[in-house]
Amino acid sequence: MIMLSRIIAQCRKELAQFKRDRVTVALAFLLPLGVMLIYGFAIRLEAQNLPLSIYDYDNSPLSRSYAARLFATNQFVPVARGDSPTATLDSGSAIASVVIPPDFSRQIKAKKSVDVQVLVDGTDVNNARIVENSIRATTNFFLQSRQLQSSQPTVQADVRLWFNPGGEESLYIVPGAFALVLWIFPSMLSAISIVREKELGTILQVYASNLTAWEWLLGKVFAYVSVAIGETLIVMGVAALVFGLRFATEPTPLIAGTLVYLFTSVCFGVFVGSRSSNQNAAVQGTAIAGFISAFLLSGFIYRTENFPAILSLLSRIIPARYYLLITRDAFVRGTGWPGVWHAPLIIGAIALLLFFASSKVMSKMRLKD
Amino acid sequence: MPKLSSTQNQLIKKNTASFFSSPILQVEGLSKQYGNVTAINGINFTVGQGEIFGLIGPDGAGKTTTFHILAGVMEATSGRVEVLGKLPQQVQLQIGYLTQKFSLYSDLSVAENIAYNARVRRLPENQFQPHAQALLQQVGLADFQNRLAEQLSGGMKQKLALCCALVSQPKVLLLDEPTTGVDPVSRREFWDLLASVAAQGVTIVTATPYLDEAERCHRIALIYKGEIQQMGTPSQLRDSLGLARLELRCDDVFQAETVLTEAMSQGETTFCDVQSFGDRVDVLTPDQEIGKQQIHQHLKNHSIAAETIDVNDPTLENVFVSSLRTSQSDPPFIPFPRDRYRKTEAEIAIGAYNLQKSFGNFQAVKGIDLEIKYGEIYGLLGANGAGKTTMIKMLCGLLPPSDGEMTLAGKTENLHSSQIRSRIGYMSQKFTLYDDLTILQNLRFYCGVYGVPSKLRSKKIEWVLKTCGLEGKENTLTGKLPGGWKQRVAFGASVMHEPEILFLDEPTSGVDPLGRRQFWRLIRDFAQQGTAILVTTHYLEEAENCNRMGFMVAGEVVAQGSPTQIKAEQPGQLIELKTNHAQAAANCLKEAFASWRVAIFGDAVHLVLDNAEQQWPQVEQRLEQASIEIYSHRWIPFSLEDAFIGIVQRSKN
Amino acid sequence: MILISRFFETPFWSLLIKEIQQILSSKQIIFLLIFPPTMQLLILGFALNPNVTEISLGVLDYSQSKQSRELVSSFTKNQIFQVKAYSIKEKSLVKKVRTGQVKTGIIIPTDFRKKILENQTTNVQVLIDAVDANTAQIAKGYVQQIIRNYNKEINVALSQPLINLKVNFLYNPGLISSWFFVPGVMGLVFTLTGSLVSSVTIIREKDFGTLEQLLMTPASAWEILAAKITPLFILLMGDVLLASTIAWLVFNLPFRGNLAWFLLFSSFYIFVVIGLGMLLATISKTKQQVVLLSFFFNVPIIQLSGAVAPIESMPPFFQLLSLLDPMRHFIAIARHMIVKGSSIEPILLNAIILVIFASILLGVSINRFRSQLN
Repeated sequence: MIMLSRIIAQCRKELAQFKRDRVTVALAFLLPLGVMLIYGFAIRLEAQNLPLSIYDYDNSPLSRSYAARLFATNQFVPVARGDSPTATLDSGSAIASVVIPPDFSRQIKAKKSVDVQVLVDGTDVNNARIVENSIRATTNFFLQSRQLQSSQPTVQADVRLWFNPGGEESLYIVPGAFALVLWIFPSMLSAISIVREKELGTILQVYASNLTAWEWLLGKVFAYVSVAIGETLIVMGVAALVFGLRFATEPTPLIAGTLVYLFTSVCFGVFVGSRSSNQNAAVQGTAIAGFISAFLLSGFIYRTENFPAILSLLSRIIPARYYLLITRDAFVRGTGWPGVWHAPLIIGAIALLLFFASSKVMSKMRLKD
Repeated sequence: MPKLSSTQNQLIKKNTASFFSSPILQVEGLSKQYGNVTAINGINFTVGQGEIFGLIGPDGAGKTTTFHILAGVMEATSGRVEVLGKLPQQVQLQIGYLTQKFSLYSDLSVAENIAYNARVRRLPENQFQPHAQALLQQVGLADFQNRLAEQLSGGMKQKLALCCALVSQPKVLLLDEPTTGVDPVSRREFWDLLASVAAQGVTIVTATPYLDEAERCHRIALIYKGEIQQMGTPSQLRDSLGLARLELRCDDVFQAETVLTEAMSQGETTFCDVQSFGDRVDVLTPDQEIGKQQIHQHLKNHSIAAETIDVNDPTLENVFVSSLRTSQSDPPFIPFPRDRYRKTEAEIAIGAYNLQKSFGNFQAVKGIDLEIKYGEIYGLLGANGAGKTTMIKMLCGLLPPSDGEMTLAGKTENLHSSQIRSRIGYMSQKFTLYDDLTILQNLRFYCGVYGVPSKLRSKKIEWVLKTCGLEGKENTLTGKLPGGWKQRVAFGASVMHEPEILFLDEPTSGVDPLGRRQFWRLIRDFAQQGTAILVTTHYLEEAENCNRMGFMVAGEVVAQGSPTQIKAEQPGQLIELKTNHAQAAANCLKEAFASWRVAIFGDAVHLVLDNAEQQWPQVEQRLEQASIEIYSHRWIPFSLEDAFIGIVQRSKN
Repeated sequence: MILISRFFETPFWSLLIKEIQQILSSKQIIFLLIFPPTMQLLILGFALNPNVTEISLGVLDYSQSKQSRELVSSFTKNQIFQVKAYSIKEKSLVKKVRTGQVKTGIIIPTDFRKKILENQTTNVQVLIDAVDANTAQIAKGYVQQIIRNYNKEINVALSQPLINLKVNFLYNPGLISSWFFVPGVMGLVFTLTGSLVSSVTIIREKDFGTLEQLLMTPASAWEILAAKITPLFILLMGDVLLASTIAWLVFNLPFRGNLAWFLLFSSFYIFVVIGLGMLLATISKTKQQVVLLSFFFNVPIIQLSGAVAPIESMPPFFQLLSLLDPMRHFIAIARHMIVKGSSIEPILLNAIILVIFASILLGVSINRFRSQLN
């Protein structure tokens, strides 16, 4: 028998306790915001401003204009030459060196092929590939624009970027950051609130008060879901202002999905809290585990398609992965319910699983021997 | 004249025996096993309506387990428990349960704590609020509704916890050591509250490790090692002993104790027990006259002059000790293996002159003068917030005073130097040992950190293990020891480097009476060898062990002297009244006298009068008007607790 | 000899033994030191892979010719694209891209074959789902390169460009992504584990209140602190060795630099994280605050370090801010020492900055700790 009045009483008590600790309240609202802002501003995967040094042994008008062409996009910034092309890379002052041979313009004018050596620092694999592609494309473009290409290409690609034609990375990162912060912080707060009752021994009073496990847990869940709703409003509101995020479709999938997601996140915290006896580090460790799973395994930054098989399976049970679909659809893609109907269902199923598992742990509402 | 409710009127007609006619709580053959460990082993008892039933025993005796089962938060291994005729889990709403110190949410306010407890018990808002207000009024918390629980003093916290338990108007109240860490004044107020709650028909089961509190129960059960050793009213238990207690006062208590113990163990006397305190020796003997003669004779043989011998009732502690002796032998007294010899000189070990400490505008210590000599045991007593902790921290050099002079071990400056600290021993009530290390690791650590020379270490560690009876268990994790055992190991750890000065902050909390006696014997032994000892405690029965003591109230020492001196200097008389209804009598007397002067002890009322000859007729008259019948009254000597409360209350006015 | 035996009688020695025994008796700390670092290193080392491959492709081929099929197969040749669906109507292809069933779509016109045979220019439409802007840009680059190569195949004149680029990748010629990410993950692991373990150790003593007792012993505050830090340092250096072994054995990282220097610089960073953990423990009153605060510090530290996202791409302000991130400097050192392995000069400045960070963090936290002692 579950009594609504008791759930409400439990919920009111949780909220009263929560708002008592000013530091925690401040951190609970500022941390998600701060994390979201850091991600929104600081994460840019697109390579820009890569330091490039040019060793132009030809120093003719043609070679100079070739060099200038390389820096025409904002992908590269010039750096001073070092002792040798390799030394510049060794010291880390440039990520790539382009060596233009002395006979560069002579050979080209004679319509003979000339070798240009490009040394790329392979330490940063991602950048290295981009550098290669970019230098190749620029060189091609250079040849075409100077009419040095013998003939026009037959097939031309007409590439259209959909949903985000400007290629703004914040449009991709910020909705992803929602999934991250709304996972970590609600679960952390609710886990702490359960572990704390165990540590302080107040749980004995709960056991003695005839509350059922459902009432007790639901009281906590509702309290922290409402805190999490507050966090959501702040984070999304600020994101709309700062990053100009707008709804790309009707907001109902987002609203429904967010509520289910917050519920799952709080249930995860409750689950961890009810399993761990009294260990600060258990909670902290889980916070880190949650961080890593929501951050890396969700597809927030790195594509889940690249994961090895085991991790790929693992990422399928990570709610953040499904919530990402919902937020990105709501703010960028804009297909609405037809595109994401399955995501809230999966998230909700995980929530129920977590809640039943934790109520099973607590079901006796008695001390263990 | 106070109107008596119908329940009270009914209760007036009942005497103690009639409690059994309406059993509220029945326990039969209750046992609990944790793995291989038996926590409780087949206990039986019954508690009737309106009765205060005490479970008295040391830490680890099985009290808390019993409460867990009675409150329905733990399953019994076997046996039957019925509360109000049902299983505890079925009637949890009728049970109020106060756990040791964790009943409250410290980050909720007074009002919020009460409201939460009421709401989870499904009380309608309009019903519990007036009741809660009345309760808060009664315990004096009405003005602090918005204060956070963590900002309340220990005594107030427990009163609030009691209110939380009472707000749902339970029929049964379970209190697991409700007064641990609470000062004597608050403790007495708390027990007064309990008495009035019981008088309204609530059945109370309470636990306490302290026997002076047991006196205030209607019936008590002595529980030890998971079994009930004895059960009955306090006076029944005392009578069952059939012994008289002779209080011998003389100059050389230590010598007298040695002589009398020697004589007892040789079988030359009728003595059953010899125990020394700060300024007296207690001797238990079946016949007081023969006992007196034997004492005189033996003291004369060793040319010790006896000042006085008083005859008194045995205490509950005497009962407990003799009961325990049937199941367990006394822990051994092994003299400490000394490597430094110090003469007992009448030098000042700790001196404080006009010592003051302020925190901002708050003056915690207001100009205290204090001198403790080598070889002396000095007790520093006081209510919570009286400035005791600040005082100790200053005396042991942890906290610099705001003003005044200090000497410590002959030094007046740089009192926190490591050179001085190596000559000091310090043991506080809770924080001494590392729970996650084994006993041996802890002892080795303290040996090392105090710089005990390596070749002496094993000898000292062996002594601690033997004294605590832990030989062969030295690789147990310290956290697994019951509190009382831990305290003994902690004491050992703090004296291994043979300190000249020893600070003991509530050293005996949770230690059983036999262990406590051994504890004090060790402390006295150190004092004999010239160590200056400063002790604090909330338990005044124990303070009798001090040579001298000081009572602190609001940052000042208001009384100082030997236990006998302090009791003797107490003005007025203490009267024990037996009436047909203790609670009604107490209520009636409180209208005429300040409430601290009236206290209920089981079925008796204690009353402090400044001038008994004059005031007694007035008392009789008042009770008669309230139609309360006086069965008997007698003058009884002040206990140290009575003296303490008197002093504190008088200096407050 | 006398000096040594005297040392064994100092309070410091006893304190040190005590700390070590406490850590050994706490399975939790041992667990924290071994399990999470190993798992993090393995999971992240395998999972972090910026390569964009197997992009799902939807094909709408109106031409249905040998040429058009050649074009499609050149898309899938290097597993860069993977055909997920063939459509026959533009509407259904558009729908597939719109709902995210395929990330890219290609529409080949009816006259594709004819135009190629006539050597006329023909346009192929490529739709890219740009929700993930970065992947979209990379995919766009691939599309253009594939089309370029296709042109070279069908047009011999294009196959010999005048500028022939010879690209050499130094240090990591195979462009193995774990060589880049694992050193970053090592930094992440040390930061998380180090600050967690040290804050847990410190707050534990605060919780139990055993500090008061320690203060009454002849041990000085310095001895107490040194005895706390020493075992933490040793254990975390153990983690450095553990992580390095995994990096070497599992991920085959080359470890080209001088190992002694690498360990020395790592030890600087270990001091930084111990200082950070102690600071967290001293500024928070409750455990709840420790957990929240550790996020407050760790998230920006990780984000700005370059472990997950390149520093060069950040807005200028954040690039400057990242100079204040000790983890950035450690990762710079780790990547240099492990993958490049030339002289230590290029990273000397980073090492000096780490020393400065370590002294500031340890100094502040030790001071706070000591003032809390009093």
